[in-house]
Amino acid sequence: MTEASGLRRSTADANLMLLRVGVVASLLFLLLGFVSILWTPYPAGSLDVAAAMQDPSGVHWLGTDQLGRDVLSLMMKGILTSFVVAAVAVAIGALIGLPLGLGAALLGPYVDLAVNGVSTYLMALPAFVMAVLLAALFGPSAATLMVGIGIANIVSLALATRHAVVKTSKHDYVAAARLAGASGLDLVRHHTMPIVARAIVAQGVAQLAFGIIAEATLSYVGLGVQPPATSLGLLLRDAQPFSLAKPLLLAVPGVVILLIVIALNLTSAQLRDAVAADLAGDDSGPA
Amino acid sequence: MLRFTLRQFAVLLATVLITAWLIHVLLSAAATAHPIPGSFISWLGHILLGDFGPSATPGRSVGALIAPRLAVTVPLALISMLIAGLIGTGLGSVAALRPDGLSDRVLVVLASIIAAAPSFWLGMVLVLAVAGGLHWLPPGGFVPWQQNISGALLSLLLPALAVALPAGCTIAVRVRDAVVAARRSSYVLAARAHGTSETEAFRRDGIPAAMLSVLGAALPQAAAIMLGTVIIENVFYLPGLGRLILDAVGARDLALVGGALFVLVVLVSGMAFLLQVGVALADPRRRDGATG
Repeated sequence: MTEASGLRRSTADANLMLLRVGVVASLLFLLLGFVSILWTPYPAGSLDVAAAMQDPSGVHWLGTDQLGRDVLSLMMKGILTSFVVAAVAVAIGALIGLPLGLGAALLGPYVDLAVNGVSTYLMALPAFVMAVLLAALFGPSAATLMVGIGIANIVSLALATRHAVVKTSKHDYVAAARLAGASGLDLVRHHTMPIVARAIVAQGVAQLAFGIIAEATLSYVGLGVQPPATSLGLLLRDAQPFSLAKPLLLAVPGVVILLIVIALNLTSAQLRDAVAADLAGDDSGPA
Repeated sequence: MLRFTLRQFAVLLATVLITAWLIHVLLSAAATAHPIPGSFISWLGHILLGDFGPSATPGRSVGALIAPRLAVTVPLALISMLIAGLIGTGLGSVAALRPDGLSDRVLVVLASIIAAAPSFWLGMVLVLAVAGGLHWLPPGGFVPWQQNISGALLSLLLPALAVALPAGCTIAVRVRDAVVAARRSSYVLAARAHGTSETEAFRRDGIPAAMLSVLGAALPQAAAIMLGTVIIENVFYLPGLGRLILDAVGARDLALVGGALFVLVVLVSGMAFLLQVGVALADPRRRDGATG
C-alpha cells in the first residue's frame, strides 16, 4: 500500500513537472508573439533585396528570406497571427459548443444522439469545408479562417462538455449532496461546475493546438491569412519554392509550429489526466 | 446490430443532407458568373443521378472534372490508412514489449513529437530528403495509372507516408497504452491463475481487448488522414480532389466547388460509417452505448 501510494506520488510529481514545462513553453511563445506588437529586430514588412537569402549571422539571427526580410521578425509576427487565429476560433467554438454540449447532456436522448452522431461524421471536415465555402464566398482572409476553424471547434467542445456533465452527474458525491438537501442550483454550482469547467479548459487548450495546425495548413493552401500579413502557415507557403536552396526557411516556421503544438498538447494532456482522475477518483460504487 | 447499423445510417444520411444543404445555401448566396444550378432539391437530385451540371470550363461538366481526380485521392487515402495502421500497430506493440523500459520511453516521446507535426510540413521535409539523398523516389508529380501502375504507386508513396506519419504515431501511442493495460487487466490475470502461460493468456484475451480500443482510436484518425491527403496534393503536385477544389475556389467556379465538396463529404462520412459499423461488429458494447 505504501509502495503503491509512493509510486503514485512520484508519477504525480512527474506529471506536475510536464504540466509546468508545457505551460511555461506555451507562454514563452505567446510572449514572443506579443513582443512583436511593440518591437521586432527589423520592421517585418521591410524588403532589402540586396540582403536576400542570407545565412544566420549576428546581424540577422535567423537569416533573411528571398525578399531580404528578417526571418526572426517574420517568425515573431507569424506566431502572433497564428495564436490570435487559433484563440478566436476557440472562443467561437466555446460560445456555441458549451450550450450545445449542456443541452445534449440535459435535454434527453434525442438531442444527445443528434449532437453525438453528427459530430462523429464531421470530425475533421468542417474546418476545411467551411474554410473553402467562406473563401469562395468572401475571398480568403484571416476572418474566414477563424470562423472555419471555430465551427470545427464547436463539435469538440460540445462533446467534451457533454461528456464531463454526464460523468459528474453520475458521481456518488453528487448523489450524496442531493441527499444532504442541496438544491439543483447549488449542486451545479459547487459540485458539477468546477470539474466541468476544468474539463472544458483542457479541451480548449487541445483545440488551441488544433487551431495552430489548422491555421498553418489552411493558410499554406491559400485559404487563410493573406499577405502583407504573415503567419506560420504563410511563411511555409512562401518558403516552398526556395526550400531546396535554403532549407532553413522551411525549418524555422515548421519547428516553431511543432514546439508550440507539443507544449500545448503537454498542457492539455496533463489537465485532462487530472480531470479524469477526479472523475474516476473515489468511484467505488457501480457506474 | 441491424438496429445499430440502421441508426448509424440515418445519422450518416442526416449529416450528408445537412452539409449538402449548407453548401448549397452558402454558394447560392454568392453572385458570380458560374453559380450553383437550381434549387437545393433539384441540385441534389441531379447529383444523385450523376449529373453535377456544367462547370466554368467551357464544354466540361463538373462530374467529368471530378471523376479522374478520384483516381488519385482515393488510392492515396487508402495507402495512407494502410501505412498509418502499420506504423501504429508496429511501433505501439514494440513499445509495449517492455513498459517503461528505455525503448518504450524513446518510442513514445518520438511518436508524440511526430504526432504534433503538420503533415504537409512533413511532406516538404520528405521532399527535401529525397532531393538530397534518396533518388529512387519521385519528389512530386503523378504518373497516370493507365501509363504505368508501379510508377503511379511510387508517386503516391511519399505523400502517403507524409500523411500517415502523424496519424500513425497518434495511433501508436494508443496501441501502446491499450496493450500495456490489457496485459495488466484482470481477465489476463485470471487466465494466468487458471494456469495458462503468460504469452498464451495475452494472445487469447489481451490482444482482442487491445485491438478494440485501437479501432476506436483509429476512427478520428481516418478523417484526419482523408483531410491530410487533400492538402498534401499541393506539396507533391498531385492532380487530386483537393487541388481541384482549391483551383475552383481561385477561379470562383462555384458549381465545381459545390460538386467537389459534396463528393468529399460523402467520401469522408461514408468511410466514418463503415468504420463505425466495423467497430460495432467487433465490440458489442459500442452498439447500445454508442455514445461512449
